[in-house]
Amino acid sequence: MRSARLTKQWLLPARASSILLFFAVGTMCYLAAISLGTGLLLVHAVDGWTQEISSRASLRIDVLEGRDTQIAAQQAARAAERNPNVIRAAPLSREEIEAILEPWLDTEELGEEFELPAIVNLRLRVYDKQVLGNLVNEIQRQVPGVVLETHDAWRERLEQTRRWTLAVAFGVPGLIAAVAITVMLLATHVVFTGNRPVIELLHLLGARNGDIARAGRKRTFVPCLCASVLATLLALATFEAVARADTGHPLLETAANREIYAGWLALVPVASILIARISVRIALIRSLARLSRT
Amino acid sequence: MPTSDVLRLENVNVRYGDSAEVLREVNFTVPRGSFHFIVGASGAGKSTLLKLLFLSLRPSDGEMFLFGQPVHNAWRSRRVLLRRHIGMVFQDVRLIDHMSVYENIALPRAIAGERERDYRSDVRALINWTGLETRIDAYPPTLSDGERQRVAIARAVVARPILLLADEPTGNVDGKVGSLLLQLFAELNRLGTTVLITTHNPVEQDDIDAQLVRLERGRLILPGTEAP
Repeated sequence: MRSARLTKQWLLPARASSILLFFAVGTMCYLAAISLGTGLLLVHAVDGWTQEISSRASLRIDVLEGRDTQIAAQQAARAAERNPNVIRAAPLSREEIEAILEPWLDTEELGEEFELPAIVNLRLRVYDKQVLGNLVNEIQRQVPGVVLETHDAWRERLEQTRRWTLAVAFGVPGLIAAVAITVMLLATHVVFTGNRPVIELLHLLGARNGDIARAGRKRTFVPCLCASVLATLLALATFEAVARADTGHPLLETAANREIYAGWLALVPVASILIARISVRIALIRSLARLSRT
Repeated sequence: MPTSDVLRLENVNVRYGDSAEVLREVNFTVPRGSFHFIVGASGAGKSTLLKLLFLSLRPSDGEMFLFGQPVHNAWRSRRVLLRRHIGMVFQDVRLIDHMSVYENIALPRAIAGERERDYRSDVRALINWTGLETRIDAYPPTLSDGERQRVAIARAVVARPILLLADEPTGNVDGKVGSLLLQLFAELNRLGTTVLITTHNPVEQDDIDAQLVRLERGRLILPGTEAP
């Protein structure tokens, strides 16, 4: 029997505003979760690339008259491997060097007699400029003219990409939160203006602003909670679907690593409820204070 | 409450902004358990007096005591809480359309923070007392004027107020329904509630022991006194 239910629907017929709030919060949470998850996956990928290029360097042994570059490369590799920071030093074969130089030189037309600089690939334990400087000095003492080539320019670009990706990953949800706050403030103001006679009556029947605000907050809590939890689950399902889509793209496949984003995504409902409660509270108190004055 | 007077007004004037006084030099004491009709023509200041007694208006001058406590300078939050001891039947009834009869009547108790199980039987008893058993789940737009008035009366007394105010409660209903409503007020008064009703046309009720107070151009004229 309906008469037995609690008397709590003080403000406005609830359904329309609750459904609107549910969809608005749900959509915003979903977009925020997708943006955050995608950003974190990108950051993870960038970190992987950075780690990969940081563990690699190469030694270039230029052609010098009277020196066999291949023998010099072997010497440089042995010298490098004596260094504890070098895991492996592998001189490249002439075919491998030709393949690397192919974009710049028409290597097919090069005769066997054309001497190419030698290259030694190094696998490093840590990327440290000072350690690398010591390493190259050490090698140069045994093989003069050795040049160490690192990937500093790429590392810098990747660092920059990482910073921007992180900024976007958290900035977009931040912007969404700002829009959500604005929408909530506006919606609460509109709802209260529309409910003015009811609020006046509630005041006359002995309701304090806090009592009315509490009723308003109750109204927002459940739709916000449901919408944000559902939206986050939907975002997790989206990442799961992407991971299982078998696209063959390594970046998309990283979506299978839930530990990268799941923890952060779990914060989306918490943040959205906090934002909703705080913004609704501010809006309610402001609207009620304005109504009380008039 | 320790005092035997529910309400006391001393030299109270009320004016809106810079306009002339709507109530002038009002001295009025309402003893506990009394029944007053305040009679006056339109514009005499009846609604203003009721707003004043309901604490939704402050006196411009003078002193006002409710349940023995001074309220003329009371803060808004204190007035709101004191208002919980006053029942009010508004002239325009003021029911909430999206709430059922039951919910409208229960509203003051819910506002006071009571749990439904604590007031459910009281609300049902009032619904039976006002003859609204079959309309318990109905919404105000579907009620007749008389039914709406009865819901308003039930809502006004559900929190067991010490003072019950009614602004022209019989104004929008026919004589028969008006008489029935007055019987409800009389019954409440017999149970100990102090009742104060404003009306421009008091219905003769032999079985109501009420004092008639006239309000003329903002001045309250008590029985046995003449207008200055």
